[in-house]
Amino acid sequence: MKNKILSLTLLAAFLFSFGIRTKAEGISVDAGLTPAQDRIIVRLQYRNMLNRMGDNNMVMHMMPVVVVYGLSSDVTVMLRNVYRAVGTNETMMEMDNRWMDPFLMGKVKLYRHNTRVYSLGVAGFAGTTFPVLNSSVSKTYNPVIGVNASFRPGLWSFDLNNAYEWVNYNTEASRSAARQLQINLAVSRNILLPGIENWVLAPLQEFSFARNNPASGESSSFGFISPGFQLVSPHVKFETLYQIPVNSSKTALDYGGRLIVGLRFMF
Amino acid sequence: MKKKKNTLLFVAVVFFLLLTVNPVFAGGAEHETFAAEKDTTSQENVVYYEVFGMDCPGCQSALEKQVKKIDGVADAKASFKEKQVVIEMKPGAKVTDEEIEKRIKKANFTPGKKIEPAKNEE
Repeated sequence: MKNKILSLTLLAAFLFSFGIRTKAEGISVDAGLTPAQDRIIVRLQYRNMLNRMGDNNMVMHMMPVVVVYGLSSDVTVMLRNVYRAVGTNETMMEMDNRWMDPFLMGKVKLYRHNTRVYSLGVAGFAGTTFPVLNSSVSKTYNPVIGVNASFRPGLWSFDLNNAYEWVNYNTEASRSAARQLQINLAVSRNILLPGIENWVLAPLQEFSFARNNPASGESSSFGFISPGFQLVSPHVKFETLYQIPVNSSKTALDYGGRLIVGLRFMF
Repeated sequence: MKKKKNTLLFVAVVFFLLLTVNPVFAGGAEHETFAAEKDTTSQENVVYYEVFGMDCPGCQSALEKQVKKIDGVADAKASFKEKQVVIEMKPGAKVTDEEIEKRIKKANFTPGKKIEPAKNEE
C-alpha cells in the first residue's frame, strides 16, 4: 500500500507538475528537497550565453546571485538577482549592461520521505520578478509556479523540475508577452573521492525541454542536453554545466551553447 | 577513424564500470576519519543516532548546525556515508532524545534508532 502511494506520488509529480524552470537556473540538483531550518545558501554563477538572429551573434555574460534561507523545515525563501553584461551584439536588439529585476520565490515542502535506501521529496514553488530596477516604461512581472521532485536512491540523484511562467506580464495590459512551460530532469551520481575526506564528485546530466507560447506568433519547442559535474564539500559546492541546444534553430532566437560555472556556499 | 571510435567506446565502458562496480566509487569505502573521531571521544558523553535522508557532504553540515543548537551539546559530527550523527555532550549536560530527534527533523532528515556505544570493560 505504502509503495503504491509512493508510486502514485512520483507519477503525479511527473504528470501534473507542468512548468518551467526559472531563468537563472540550469543545475537543478536539490530541487525537490527543501533545506534545513535556518540554512543559508549563497550561490554565485557565471553564464556565458551565445544567441543568434540569422547571421548575427549576441554573446551575453550573465552573473546571477542567489540567496536562499530556510524559514522552517517546510518553507524556503529565495532571492535572486542577475547582472547582465553584453559581450557581442550584432543584432538590432538594444541591450545594455545592468542589474536585472530581482526575483523572489517561496518553496514549500509537499512531501518528504527518508529511508535507509532512498529519499523522496516533492516541493511546490511560486515566485515572480519585481520591476524595481527596470528602467523601461512598461513595468512587467514574470510570475512563475511549479512543482519539483527529487529522488535519491543511494548515491544516485534524480531531480525533476517543472514550472510554468507568464513572461513579461504587463499589469496595465493584463497580458503576458508569452507563456512558457519548462521541464528539466537532472541525473547525477556521487563518487566518493578516495583520500579526500568529505568531498564528493558528482557527474551530472541534465535534459531540459521548453515550450514557448508567445502572445503573437508561432509557438516553439526547444531544449538543452547538458553534461556537467559538481564537486561537493560540507560548506562549498562547485558546479559546472555545458548546455547544448536542441531544436533551437526553429525558434525566433537561435540559441547557441551555454557554459555555466558556479559556486555555492552553505552555512 | 574506426580505431578512434573503438578507443572512445572502450574509455566510456571503463568509466561506466568504475562508477558502478568499484567498491570505492560505489560507496563501500570506510569513513576512516569519522571512525577515528568516534574512537577518541569520551564514550560517556557521546550518543550516536542513525539518520536517514542525508545524501551528500552538504547535508552533513546542515544537520550538524541544527544539532549544535541544542543547549548542552558540545559538538556534532554527521556522516552521510554512515548515515549517522555522533553527538558529544558537555560534561553533566542532560539532553533528551526528543530534543535531538526534533533537531534532526528540523534539518529535514529522519531519525533512526539511537545506537548505544559499547561499554568500556575496564
